[in-house]
Amino acid sequence: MFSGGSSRARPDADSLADLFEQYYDRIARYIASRTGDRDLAEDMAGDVFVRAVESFSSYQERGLPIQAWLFRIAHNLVIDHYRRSSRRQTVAIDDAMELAGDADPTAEVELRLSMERVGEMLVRLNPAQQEVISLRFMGGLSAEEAGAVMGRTAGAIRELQRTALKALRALLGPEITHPGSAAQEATGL
Amino acid sequence: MTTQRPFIEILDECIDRVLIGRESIDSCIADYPEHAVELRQELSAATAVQQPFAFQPDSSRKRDARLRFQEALDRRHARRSWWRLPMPRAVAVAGPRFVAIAVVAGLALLGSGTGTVLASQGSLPGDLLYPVKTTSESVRLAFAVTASREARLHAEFLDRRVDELEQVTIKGRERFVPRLVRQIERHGAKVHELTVEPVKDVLDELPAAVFEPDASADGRTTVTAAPPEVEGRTVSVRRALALSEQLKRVQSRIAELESKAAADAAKDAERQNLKRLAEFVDRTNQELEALLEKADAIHRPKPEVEAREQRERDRVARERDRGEGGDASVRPILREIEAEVLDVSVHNLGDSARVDVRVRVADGSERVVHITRGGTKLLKAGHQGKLQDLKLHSIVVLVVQRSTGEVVALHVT
Repeated sequence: MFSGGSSRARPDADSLADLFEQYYDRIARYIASRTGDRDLAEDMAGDVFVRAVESFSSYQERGLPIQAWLFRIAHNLVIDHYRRSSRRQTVAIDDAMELAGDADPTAEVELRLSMERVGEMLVRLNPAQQEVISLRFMGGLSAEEAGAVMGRTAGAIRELQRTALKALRALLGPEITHPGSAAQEATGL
Repeated sequence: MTTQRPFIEILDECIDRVLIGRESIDSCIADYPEHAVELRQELSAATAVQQPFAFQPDSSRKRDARLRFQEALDRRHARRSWWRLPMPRAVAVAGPRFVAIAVVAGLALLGSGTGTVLASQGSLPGDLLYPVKTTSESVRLAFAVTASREARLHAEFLDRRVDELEQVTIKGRERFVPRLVRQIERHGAKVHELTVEPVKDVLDELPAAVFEPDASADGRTTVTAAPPEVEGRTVSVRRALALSEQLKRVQSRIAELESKAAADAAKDAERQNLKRLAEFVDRTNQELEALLEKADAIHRPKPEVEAREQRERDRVARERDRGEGGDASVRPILREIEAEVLDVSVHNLGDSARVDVRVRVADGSERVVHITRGGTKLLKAGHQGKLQDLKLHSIVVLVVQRSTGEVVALHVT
């Protein structure tokens, strides 16, 4: 019923049901990249769809592409979360693994470590660059769709994406030349 | 393929193709060789940034989210359905202004839209809110993504229709009995199809032991033994057991209604309908009982096995009472169970650490295996694989002490 493109079709509320299967995973990944917390992101992704049903009349008035509207709800929930929550205390996974006496972490632990490292790089971008990277890379939106979420043109999104990638490359270092390199594995990414 | 397009557009296209479309970097670069170096650097960086977030969300959390979403849709649908309810004939005849007043008065009585769905739950055929109730049931069925969930819903709605059948006969609305009987048969047939058929299909394959996961009092994972090939079978049997209990209750209620109808010579048609319904429920239950008896005969361990295991349990209990560590020469009976790794997390406990491995075992239930520092050594000493080889969705083998159900080791296969 809804393609991934920037359709301006006006769905009814029941067609929201199709969107859950289509967008839940992507919205969870987007929120994880904004919050750095995968468990929280998956819970908040569910809140996005409940909020979408409850505020469906406001969607119909605005005429946004439906996926852009969903991600905008997700963005607003992330902002609300930042306002409400205090700084989390995190456990240094390196310390925990050393105490466990096992010098070889699980793939999942490595994944979480990588998520933290990438998160630390993302926060060094400006807010608009962070948003573009999260919407495009994690949310899987096109430049046009991301533009609809952020209220910018597709051209502006591409420019933000370009400058964000340039900054990220500097942070990742010259070792990241191609996926699967030994140097890349050493950095955990 | 060469192009004069700006690099920024080419980069955007390749990001779409590689990060979203899952093409390889080389595939995109092949189309733009003049930008190969810069494209590779940009796309490598993009991939490195995306990769840690390319996870599959937890299935149980997603299921909960879907349920909350479904409930929100139910509430919205019920609010909108209110406006389309058939009005009583007198109100419709009275004209639009009266209808509008009646609707507003009705809303005021019932409160918010959310309250409308709740208020409809006690309604009967012929009541104003009854369509809200049945519409809500249809929406819930539409969202039942598994056969198990669908079967449970049909069983719930079957119960509801039997309740309504009782009530309409009390209230003198016998004209609704044939419709309710048809709906009961339909729900019963669906439950039969979704519950009994899977049991029939697999009974011949069931091995001797039944897998019954259970959490121990101290919260540690315990599983009791079963060969790993039982996948899903015992779920079917348990579902069939629950259905059998429900059908017995439905049978006795229908029998009560039949005896009440028998006392009234004017209710012959109703009696015939109830008789037909009773025969249907009886047939279904008989078939189910036969299957469960067969399952019992397969499941029940041989007496000598039961006796041996009871002796082992008694021995462990005696040693525990005496404070002894147990006879090292007597090895506990161990079983191996396959489980799928769903999640691995590390917890800093101050001067030690714990690794929690969440797994899904044969019957679909999930358990967490706690590996403490000593447990980690178990993994390293003489077992196949190491903790680092654990990946999401890989299969591990849990080694379980049969008498206590405790996981004593975890193999990475």
